[in-house]
Amino acid sequence: MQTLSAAGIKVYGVSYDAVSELKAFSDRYSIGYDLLSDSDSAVITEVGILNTLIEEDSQVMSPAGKSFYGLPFPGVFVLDEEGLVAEKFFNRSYATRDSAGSILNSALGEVLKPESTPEVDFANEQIQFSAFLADPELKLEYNSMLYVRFTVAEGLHIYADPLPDGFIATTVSVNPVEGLTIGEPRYPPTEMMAFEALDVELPVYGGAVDVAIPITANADVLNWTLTDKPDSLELGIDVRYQVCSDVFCYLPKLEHLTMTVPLGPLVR
Amino acid sequence: MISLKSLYGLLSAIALLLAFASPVFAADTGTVQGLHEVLDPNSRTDDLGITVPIPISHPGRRYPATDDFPTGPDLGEALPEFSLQNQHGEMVDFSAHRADSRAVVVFFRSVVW
Repeated sequence: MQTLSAAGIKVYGVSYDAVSELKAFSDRYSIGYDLLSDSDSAVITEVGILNTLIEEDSQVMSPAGKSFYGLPFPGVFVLDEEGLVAEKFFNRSYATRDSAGSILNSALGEVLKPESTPEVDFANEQIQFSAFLADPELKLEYNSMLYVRFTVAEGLHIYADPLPDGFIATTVSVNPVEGLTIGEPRYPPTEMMAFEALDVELPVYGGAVDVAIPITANADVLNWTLTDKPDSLELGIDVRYQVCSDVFCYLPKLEHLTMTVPLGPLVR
Repeated sequence: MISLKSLYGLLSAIALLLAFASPVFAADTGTVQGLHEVLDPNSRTDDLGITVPIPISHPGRRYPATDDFPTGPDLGEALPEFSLQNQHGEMVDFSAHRADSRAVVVFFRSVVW
């Protein structure tokens, strides 16, 4: 929250609650941004995200005595300076949410490496990389992000797909862990580098690059019996790369990192 | 002895799980099919494997059966103009208040429940 404000990013919450309900919540939790009352769901409807699966005349009431009708398909819009949607986060199930860390990074347009999040590092003379999580811990059905940040020494580069045979692309993979849903790695855009001796242009990364891997604690974490329910999980991360200069290459490498990821309270 | 019907149910549950394994952005669409129209409405366990005391057909648990559901303006489009009262009873004209700042707008369920 403070990070967003410091970056000049304004935050708004919109729900179908009455002003008095929002006031009570805001006082209780010292909310420093605007909670907007869309009590007749007019804005939710106009934005086009009204939950149409709930009948308007549904007599079933929420535990708090409110109607279910008027709820949105919940989601988050990240807007740029011109008010245009730069990113949006919508999940099919109300139970699945995007973590604060992943939304923050999207809004800022850069990947922050917070102090309090799990991290493992590797370094040699040509390259260093660190794997870190967007959030201090994983919570049930909160979509977090694992980042692997590569920093390649000056004058050197690493490769990215698509490549001809004989070249090693930079890849990151996370070994399957029961209780975690691990998404496809998202690789950043590459630069094209010309190799005159070979008469080819190949996609490369230089400097600092972040590879992002979506990671979510799923309901399997609930299925463990109480006695062996862990406080954390071990993530095995394989990093494959080959460092080259414009005239020679080092040997391809496969490094294995192990990160211990704390699990948050498994309640919604 | 496992009956053919329960085997079929198990297989369709597995197929559903596979189909829904990755929640991602959805294309905007007019009609939405609910999970309770696809799974047993009385089931207390949803396709994410989360079990709670109310069945999935309960209005409070209704959510789309596929990733195809409306998610509002596309990337590069603007939100509609709107003015709403904030928690202090002040009228907030969204686009005037946002001015030329970047913003995060969260549409959430409720502060009450």
